[in-house]
Amino acid sequence: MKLLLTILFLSTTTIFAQSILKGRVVEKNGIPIYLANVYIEGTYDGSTTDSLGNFTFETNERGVKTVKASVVGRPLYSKTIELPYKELLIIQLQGSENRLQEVSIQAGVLQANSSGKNTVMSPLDIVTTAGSMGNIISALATLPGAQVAGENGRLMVHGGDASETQTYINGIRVAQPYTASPNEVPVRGRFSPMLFKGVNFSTGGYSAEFGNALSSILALSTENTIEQPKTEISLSSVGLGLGHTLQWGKNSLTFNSSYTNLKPYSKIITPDIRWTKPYENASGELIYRHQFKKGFLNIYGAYNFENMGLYQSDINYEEPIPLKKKSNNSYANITYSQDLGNRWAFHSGVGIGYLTDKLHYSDIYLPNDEKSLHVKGTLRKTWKNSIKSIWGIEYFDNNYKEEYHRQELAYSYGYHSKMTSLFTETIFGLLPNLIGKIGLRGTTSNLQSKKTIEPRASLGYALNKYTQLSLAYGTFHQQAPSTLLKYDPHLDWLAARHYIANYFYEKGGHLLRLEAYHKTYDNLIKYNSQTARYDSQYDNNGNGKVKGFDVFYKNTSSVKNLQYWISYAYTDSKRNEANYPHTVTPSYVYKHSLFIVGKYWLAGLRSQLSLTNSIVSGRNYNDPNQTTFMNGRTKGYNNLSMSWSFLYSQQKIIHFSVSNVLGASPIYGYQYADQSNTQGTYERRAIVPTAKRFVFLGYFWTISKNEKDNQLDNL
Amino acid sequence: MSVHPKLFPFASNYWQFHGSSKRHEPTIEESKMLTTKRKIMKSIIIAIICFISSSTFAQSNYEKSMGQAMSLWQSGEIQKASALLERISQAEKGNWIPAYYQAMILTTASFREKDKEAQTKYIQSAEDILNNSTQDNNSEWLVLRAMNKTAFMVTDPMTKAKELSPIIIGLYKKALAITPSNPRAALGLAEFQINAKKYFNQETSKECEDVRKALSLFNEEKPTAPFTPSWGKDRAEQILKECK
Repeated sequence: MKLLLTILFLSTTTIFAQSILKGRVVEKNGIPIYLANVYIEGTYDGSTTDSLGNFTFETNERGVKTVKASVVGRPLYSKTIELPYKELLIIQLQGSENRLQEVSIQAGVLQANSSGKNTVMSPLDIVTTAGSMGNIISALATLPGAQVAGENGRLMVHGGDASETQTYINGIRVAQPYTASPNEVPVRGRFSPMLFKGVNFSTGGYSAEFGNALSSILALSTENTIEQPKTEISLSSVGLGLGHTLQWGKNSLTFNSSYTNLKPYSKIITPDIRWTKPYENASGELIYRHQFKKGFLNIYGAYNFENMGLYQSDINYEEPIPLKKKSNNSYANITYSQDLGNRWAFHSGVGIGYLTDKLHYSDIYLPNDEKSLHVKGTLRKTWKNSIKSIWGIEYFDNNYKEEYHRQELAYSYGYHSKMTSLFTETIFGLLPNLIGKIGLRGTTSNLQSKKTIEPRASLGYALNKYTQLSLAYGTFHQQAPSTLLKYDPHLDWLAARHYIANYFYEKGGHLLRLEAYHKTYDNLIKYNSQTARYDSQYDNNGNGKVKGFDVFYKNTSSVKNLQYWISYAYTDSKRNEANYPHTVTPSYVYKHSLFIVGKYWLAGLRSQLSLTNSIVSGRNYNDPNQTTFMNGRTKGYNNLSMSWSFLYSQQKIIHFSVSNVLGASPIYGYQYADQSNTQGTYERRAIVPTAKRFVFLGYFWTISKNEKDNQLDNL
Repeated sequence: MSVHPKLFPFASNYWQFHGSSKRHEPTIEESKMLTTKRKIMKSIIIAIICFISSSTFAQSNYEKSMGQAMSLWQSGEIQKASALLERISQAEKGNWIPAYYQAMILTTASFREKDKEAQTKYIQSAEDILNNSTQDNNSEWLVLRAMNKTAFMVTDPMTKAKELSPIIIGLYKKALAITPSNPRAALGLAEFQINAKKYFNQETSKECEDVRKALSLFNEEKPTAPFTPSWGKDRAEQILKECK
């Protein structure tokens, strides 16, 4: 009996019989992993590893059980064993499968996202950069590789001209990213940087997902989240704005409207322009978002009206010439993304734009309109964490019509371009810390007889946790810019080849980025007249070479509350294009440019003080009085801008900024007379900034529904 | 061995029910059989008792382990406490409390952590736990989400405050809408707004009143199950002192 009882007792107390599970958790190369959580699935039994990767714990479990090991930031490790397990259990974690998170290809990439690694600046940095006046384009100019010609306002990248950069929102092309403006008045980017969570600016070698841009892509993206309800009011020295966001269920709807009129401002601070109708801009935006269970819909619509009239100095005329411009721009951008499960994702979008421009210049009347359509669909797939692929198809339709009227003369010209592109790209892990990306893009067009095939490839290598090296290569084609294509629609594709090498270091609050590049251009447009005209002869016999390097250093931690960056670019661009008799450095290129941007937070005053100092070298210009072409050189100049943002309350911000504080008087170039004067010399007029200084004062008020009522009424 | 009727009353009842109606003196074989049956019965009973006590032991294993996690937390062993709670959480599917405390430990650790990288890891690990959508209507869980977002906001208030403030306030308000008597939601909302107002040198009398209301909610609170969140009264009292 006692034996029976003992046996029974033992059988129940085998539940209490402890066995010990011992082992180590290590990396693939044997390095121990500290603080891994090793346990038996479904039980509490387990422990964390010590600094040598060792673990030991007791368990009452018996039989076939699953052992799991969890380490922060790594996929869960699983192994079935038979308990009791007498041997030492060695758990070897795979080299982190998600290599793509550790290594990224930095060549040709500048990321400005709200958060995240490898981000160079955030959208808020853009708004608070002195001298930018909330214009994305001006703020991007402080980054390496980007230049903005003072009289033009358009973005130029790595020695290319302004037409070589395309702008995209959520993967859909924006045909008209700039405001309209007459010559020599700089344009602005149309979109507020605060709309976007991500600004992905390429300096070259960009993804096969994009095309028709010889130099770079500016990809803006909004976050796929429903907006919080709020009302936004802005008052400034140049205009006012009102916005309201409604949120209900899984929807949000935002209205934004703004009106800008430079008339009151020009009365206070007289710029060097004689306005007949001071620049006036009225715009409205509508953004609708809906969150589906596995998808997201984003609808963006904008309408913009611009009106201006001024007297423009022209060396060919005694008196300044009256210039009038009216512009109407409508744009809609609809994108839909869906997670298809099994790590497939679908993204599609449509962009429709309609722009009409009416320009009167002296006795010339130049109306034009442009209808543009972009339809795109992409499929993305993540294979095992190391491999990601994308396939896509897109269609671009651009219909541009322009007329030239002068007294009895009347011409009309334009083009209707229909382009279809297919692209695919895959990014994959090659070795630990080495990833590669390979892509192919093909385009066919109704206007150009040749089809283009563009291979792109890049490599990224993580030297260590903080340092990355990368290389990029790609071929790029672009239709001639509309300013020339309208005269000769069948001009062949322009071509470029990029070779880029990049070094990227980020640790603590320091970021250092070095990039060297070499670009070769072919099939650049050449014409045989003094200016590009309707009746000029055009061909693709031009070519060019650009080489250079950029240095970017950003510091956010050395001095408390101080953030600064220094960006230097050397650009050696030589092109034979337009009406050049031979290869020269074009007049829109700055050989050297240095930007120093600093932002300091004065906690006591709840203010941010920002300074931007730019030093650029002179630019080339052609002096017809000289026998050597493009031999003139303007002087370099220094421009210091400052801005002050004061956080008046949680919802109210006051912003004050002044550009060109030191009053530099840069000369961007010269306009020479078409004909020589009676003495046989060509007279000239200096092209200078439209306003020596620009002063801006603004008041921004956000009324957030959640912050409005502070009462806990239900208590 | 004899079976004491007091210990095993049903044993004697069993024999009473199933014993023969005729009372007769048992034979020696019958006696032996009877004793064996009794012994077997007793063993079965002992086995049943052992099983019952072992299963109740397993239940109090939960409370024992949760208590262990709490003491690890108090002695500063953040990683060990978090790992233990992770194990309890995966063993007790359907019980949100272990995961709640794991996220809480990580979030409070991030407030004290000086090293930026470690701080970000704590916040991110807590956020990964808190993103669980099955708890979207759990008042306590939403309060913890608001705390985690506050921890994230504090790492870079200049850029993040404008975007995160309405989201944090929205979370506290939703928590109150679900459970208006949740003192932690009331306190969290009031404290967040006091800090924001102090920064702009605005007066906080209304928010201090709200803290007083939160304190009365604390006083009314009755603990339900073991380990349901009940913290925060000391904090409320501390804030009230600063109010006066």
